Amino acid sequence: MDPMDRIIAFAHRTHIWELMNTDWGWPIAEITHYIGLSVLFGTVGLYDLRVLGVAKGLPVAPLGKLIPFGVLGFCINLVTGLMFFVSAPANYTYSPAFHIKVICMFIAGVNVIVFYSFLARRTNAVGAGEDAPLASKVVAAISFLAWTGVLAGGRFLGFFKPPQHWCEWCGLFS
Amino acid sequence: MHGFIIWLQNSAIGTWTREAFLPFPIILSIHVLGMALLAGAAFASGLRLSGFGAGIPLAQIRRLRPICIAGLILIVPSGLLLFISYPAKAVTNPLFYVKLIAIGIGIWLTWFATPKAVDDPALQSGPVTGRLKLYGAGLIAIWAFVIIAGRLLAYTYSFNNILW
Repeated sequence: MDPMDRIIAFAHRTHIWELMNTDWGWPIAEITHYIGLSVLFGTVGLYDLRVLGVAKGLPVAPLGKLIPFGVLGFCINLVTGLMFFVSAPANYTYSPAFHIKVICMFIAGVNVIVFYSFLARRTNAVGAGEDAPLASKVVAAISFLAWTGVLAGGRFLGFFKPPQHWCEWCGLFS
Repeated sequence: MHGFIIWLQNSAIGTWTREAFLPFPIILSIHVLGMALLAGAAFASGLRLSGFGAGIPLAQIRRLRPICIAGLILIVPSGLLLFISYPAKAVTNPLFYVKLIAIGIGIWLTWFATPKAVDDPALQSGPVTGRLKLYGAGLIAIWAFVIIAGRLLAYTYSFNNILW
């Protein structure tokens, strides 16, 4: 069976496909996805911007206390994102926009690991009015750009619904 | 009005953003990034006023203003271009006006009302009071409403670029 058909079969079995194809299923999932991304940008993105020197009057550590809300936003978007994906897998699997989105998510993920392994303590010690270390700024810039790439990739998705033969490298995975 | 909408829709810019391949998704991406910055900064303020992130100095909450401004700089021109691309679609949908009014209320609450409320010296230290929590809930609610209304514009229109 074609992998796309298998994913669709899974979506039917779990009734996700039926839910997403009701009048309001897809729009409500999209609304939730947009609110989730705004929470992510308002917490993780805000932390990144502060480390980069925006709103320098704020100490870094307390802004970090809002990051769990960003994690929640990400989890909400992972769930709603997978609901979109399993309901129309071919639109995503063969779309360059989706590939870029996933690559950006991967970069953001590795970046999070680097941050918590090496830089979190030093970065959180930055007080009101102080400059963050260069390494922290680099990681913050990568984070902000990667999430912006995830957002833009998602926004481009609706505009490319290419057939499989458009994707030259997709055959490599099947 | 009728003639103006038709003229706008058939203008060179409107036709280009609507029919060329790349401009529309680029404009949409800019619009959504601006939304994420503006609504995100408001959500962060709302969370702080609701009692989360307690170490963030309340009096300094207005430091988030440059982020709101950056958001608006991305949102307004891209929003105008989206409007020029499909003006009939926008002006014939009551939800479009609801969204604009909600943005007005949101900006008033974020830019004027909330900073004024946190300026009260009695509120500067100690736990967040009930009145501030109300501002926090209001900030989160109004910007969530704007996002909901904006997203629903894609589903509730009765005219696309069809001339009526």
